Amino acid sequence: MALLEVRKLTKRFGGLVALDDVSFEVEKEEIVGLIGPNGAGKTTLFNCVTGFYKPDSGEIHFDGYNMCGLKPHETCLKGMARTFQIVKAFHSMRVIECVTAGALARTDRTQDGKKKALETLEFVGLADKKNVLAGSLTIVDRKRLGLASALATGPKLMLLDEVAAGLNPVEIDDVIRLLRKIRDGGTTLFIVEHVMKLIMPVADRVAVLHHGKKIAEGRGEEVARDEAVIEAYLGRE
Amino acid sequence: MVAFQMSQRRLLLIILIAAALLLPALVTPFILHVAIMVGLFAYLGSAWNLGCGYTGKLSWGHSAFMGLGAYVSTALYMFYAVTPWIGAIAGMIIAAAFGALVGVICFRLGLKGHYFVIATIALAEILRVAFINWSVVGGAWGLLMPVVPDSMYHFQFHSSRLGYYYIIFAMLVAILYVERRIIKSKLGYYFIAIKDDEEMAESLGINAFKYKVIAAAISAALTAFGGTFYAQYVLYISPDTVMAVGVSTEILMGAVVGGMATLGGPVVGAAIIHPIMELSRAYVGGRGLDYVVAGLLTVGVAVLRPHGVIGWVEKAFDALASYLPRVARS
Amino acid sequence: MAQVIISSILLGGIYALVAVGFNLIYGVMDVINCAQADMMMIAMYVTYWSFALYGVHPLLAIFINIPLFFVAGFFAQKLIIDRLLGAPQFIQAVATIGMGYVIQNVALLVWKEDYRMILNPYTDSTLRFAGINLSVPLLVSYIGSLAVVAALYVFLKKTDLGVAIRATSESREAAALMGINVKRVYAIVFGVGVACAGIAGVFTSTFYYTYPMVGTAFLLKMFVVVVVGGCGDVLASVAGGLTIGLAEGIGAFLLGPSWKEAIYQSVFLLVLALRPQGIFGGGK
Repeated sequence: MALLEVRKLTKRFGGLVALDDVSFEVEKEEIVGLIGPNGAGKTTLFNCVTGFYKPDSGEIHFDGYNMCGLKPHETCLKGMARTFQIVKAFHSMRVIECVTAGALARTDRTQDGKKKALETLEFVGLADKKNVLAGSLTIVDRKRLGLASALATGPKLMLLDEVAAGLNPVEIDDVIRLLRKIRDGGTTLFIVEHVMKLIMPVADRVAVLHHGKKIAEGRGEEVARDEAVIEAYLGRE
Repeated sequence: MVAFQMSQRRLLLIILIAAALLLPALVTPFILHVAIMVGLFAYLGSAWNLGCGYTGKLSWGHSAFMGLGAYVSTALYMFYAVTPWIGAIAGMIIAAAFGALVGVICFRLGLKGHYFVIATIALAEILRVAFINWSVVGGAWGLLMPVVPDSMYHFQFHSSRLGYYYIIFAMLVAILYVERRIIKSKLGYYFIAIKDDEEMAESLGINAFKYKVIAAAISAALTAFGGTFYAQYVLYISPDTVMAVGVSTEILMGAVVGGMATLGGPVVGAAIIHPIMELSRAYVGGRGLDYVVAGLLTVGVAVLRPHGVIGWVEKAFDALASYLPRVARS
Repeated sequence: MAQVIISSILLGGIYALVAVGFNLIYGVMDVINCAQADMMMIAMYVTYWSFALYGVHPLLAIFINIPLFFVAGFFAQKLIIDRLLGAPQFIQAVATIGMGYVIQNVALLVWKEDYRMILNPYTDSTLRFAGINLSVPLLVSYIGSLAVVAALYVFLKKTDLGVAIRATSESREAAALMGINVKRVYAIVFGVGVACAGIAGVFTSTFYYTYPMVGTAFLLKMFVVVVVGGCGDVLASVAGGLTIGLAEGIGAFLLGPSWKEAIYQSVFLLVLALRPQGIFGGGK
């Protein structure tokens, strides 16, 4: 059974249909990407899966559990962690404390949490900045921090929301390396992205959303050549 | 090799604590009274800070919890001869329940910002009016406790007030210790996470609703114990003296002036505001100047240093400590 | 009993006036002025002393208070409030409460705790209407308050300055780009808001006791009125004021006057639960 199964997900905002009967699956230890032009419904799908929005109809199954109606903190405790497009941080905490907050999802003892946090920081390459105030980090480091905090919750599936936004090519390569490292560590990745340079090299499969509908799915190169996809991206101008 | 070493700061702290313990022997009864008041509001401010400063949910209705604590212990004492110590525990439990109720109402309704603040005032006011209309506990007249000879059981020490001083000192030390332990624990991390970014906190598996209610309940219970102390010290309570909005303001003023979300903030704030208020009150003979000064102080701090004066106080503390010798013994 | 109800409803007019001033300040500058009601208290004293010392008819005091309070508010904004503009709302509230404390207690020091009342034929007069004795000052205050609010509404909608004020409340940057002197607008708005309190004080002193602490009760009510009516709009304040006045009246009738405060606080909580943006929810 797939790790994440989304079936016929539909979400409306007033008269606007943001998601229209969307279905897809993510297998264990896959890296699956979701792309689509602006306004396609990517973030809506993201928020529905992670519990921040309630879908109007459809099913979401994760690791055998029915996820519909779960609150955001519950989806996290079940093993789904997410990052935010507009990078969020606990500005009054230091880096190590932010990640510890994440690690405390799996333990009640701050000592164990701190240990896990330190390990995670080393994993993402932020260990040298562990005592820096989160509010004073650069954008790249803040994204790394977001990844670290999410990773510290020990997820089976990590969902990334446009992690490449605002990064230069060198930084994108760093992120790609990190993502591969995360997958190799056993975590499945579902990446919503707008920047092709990140998605294409790293994703095993890519799905394309347009006007709330899934219009293509397959390996990166196939999807990039798909006519409907090309039209969606060009046509929207 | 140095077997024992103490930093200058720790030494200064010990000196200050020793001075505090010896204070009653060195000062007039009036100053002792001021010290007790400072201690009480430092305690209450810390209780408020625990629930509100760290979570960012700033209640302006804490007088309700203080009043509940005062009334429960006083009523049990006057009607059933239960020692106020046990009455205090009962008060804490009831206040915690009320605090949790306030939390559930406000947070279920998703109240934020000033809506939350005004709602806490509303709930406290409703409680106050309810007590005004409850003749069993004296209605608007309140309850007056008879003075008895010094006694632990009766929680009264009016001959010299020494008992009050050491008890409030112990209470303050205790609450600061509890506060420190909570901040370093999972609870503390979660409170601050919720304050900084509730959405992000949720994404890390933090049930914000649950923890906000927990914070409210803990803060309410601790505040209630302060209410019992107040009742035993002043021996008179009424809805307008322990449940009014003005009392809530006095409770949080120290924390705001000193610095919210810090351990020493409420203590420093209370230590600045209350002596000035008590001294103003004594020299002018009655209400008036004390609140003018408190008001000016508050405006000044809010405009010049919204994070509270604790930063300055810490610097002064360090500067003072640097004059002390380092203690080391091998 | 009908008298109690009608009186409470009429009082709603005053609440609306005080709330309008507060709402204006909050809507345009995002500042919570907790000293609004204490300023009204000072206005009551000004009216009282004009009458007691110089025999000025209370209603004429409006002509003293409007300029006096506008100027006071204008400069208060420039000197103090301006510095609070960026601060978190809670700090603003604490600061303006501090201001309120200062105002209230200076009044206490100077004028002591005595309750004073303006006693002249006008304030004693009543009107007999449908079998009820209506206090004329209360009635006049009600009509007067609504008239002032209406005038404000016209001012904001029709005059150039009013449009400038509304533009600034929508977006400070856009207004600045259009050449509006934002700082001046802020000072003017605060002056107007305080002047509202000034006028309200005149009216209130004609039928209510004047004493230093009178502001506190009105302040709590004002908050409730603002939330119930909805933040930001003139109409909202009127709706809120009248609703609370009505709620108080009915509450006093059903449960007795000692429960009044609990009644309107409960109405407030009900509104928060069912319609958080207020009756005329403008969205702030």
